[in-house]
Amino acid sequence: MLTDNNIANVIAQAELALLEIRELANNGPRFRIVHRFHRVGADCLPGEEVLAIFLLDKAQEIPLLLSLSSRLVFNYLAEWRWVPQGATQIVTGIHVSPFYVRHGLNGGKLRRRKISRYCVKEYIKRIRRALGIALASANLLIDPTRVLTSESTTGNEVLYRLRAKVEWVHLD
Amino acid sequence: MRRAIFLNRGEIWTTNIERALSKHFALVTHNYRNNLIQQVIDEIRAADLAIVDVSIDDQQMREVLEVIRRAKMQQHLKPALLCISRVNRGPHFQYQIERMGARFAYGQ
Repeated sequence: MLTDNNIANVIAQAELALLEIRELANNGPRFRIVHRFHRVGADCLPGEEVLAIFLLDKAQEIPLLLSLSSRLVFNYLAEWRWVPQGATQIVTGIHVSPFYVRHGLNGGKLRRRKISRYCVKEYIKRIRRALGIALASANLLIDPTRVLTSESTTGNEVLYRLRAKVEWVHLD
Repeated sequence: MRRAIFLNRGEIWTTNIERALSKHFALVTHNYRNNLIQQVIDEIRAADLAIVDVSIDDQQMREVLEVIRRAKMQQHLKPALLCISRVNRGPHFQYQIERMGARFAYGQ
């Protein structure tokens, strides 16, 4: 026998299901980027390492299986997620930022990667592939090209942008 | 008004839920036991929310969920999916449903 409570619960779950997809459609999925070799004082300082990137879905943490270079590009795109950027801008940003120049140095070994503008397209492809795997295992039926978008300019340059919610976690 | 489609097995217990849902959504109801699922694909695609009665785990129910899964994939997450059951299906079943990106609620 159905009670008013059961019906209220069904309605509440219906509203929640709608809210969930609206949130996902508007803001994209959520990611957690883990930095290690953190020093007390401030976050995201030079010398830290981008340890891992996780896709968050409900109570699950699904790792994105990315190489170091791809993790650096992802971290950069996450930092600048409100500004679409071309390959040259991404490379310049990574080469100039002290975070990437001294990447991993707090751990005793510099873990820097040289990223050229010609490689950015390939890294974007790899990130999308890893996104596809993670989104599929979370059963989030989202096209990775809608998460990491390519936006055409009036010229022939392509701008990349990460449409997602991102949080950073720091480990010592 | 938000559109919802309620796919059930034509059982009496769903009428109260139907009545409650129709206060919140522009609701259409179909009995999926009549093998109509292929005929209502357009309605599923047009809906913001699909509610499915999963009280009995059979081939028809699985076909309904598969059709909705495909619609979600083609339309960037739409429609949202809510599965309801009048019988206790256990945590494993509920987990499987939630792994599909659906919400789950008990009717009793």
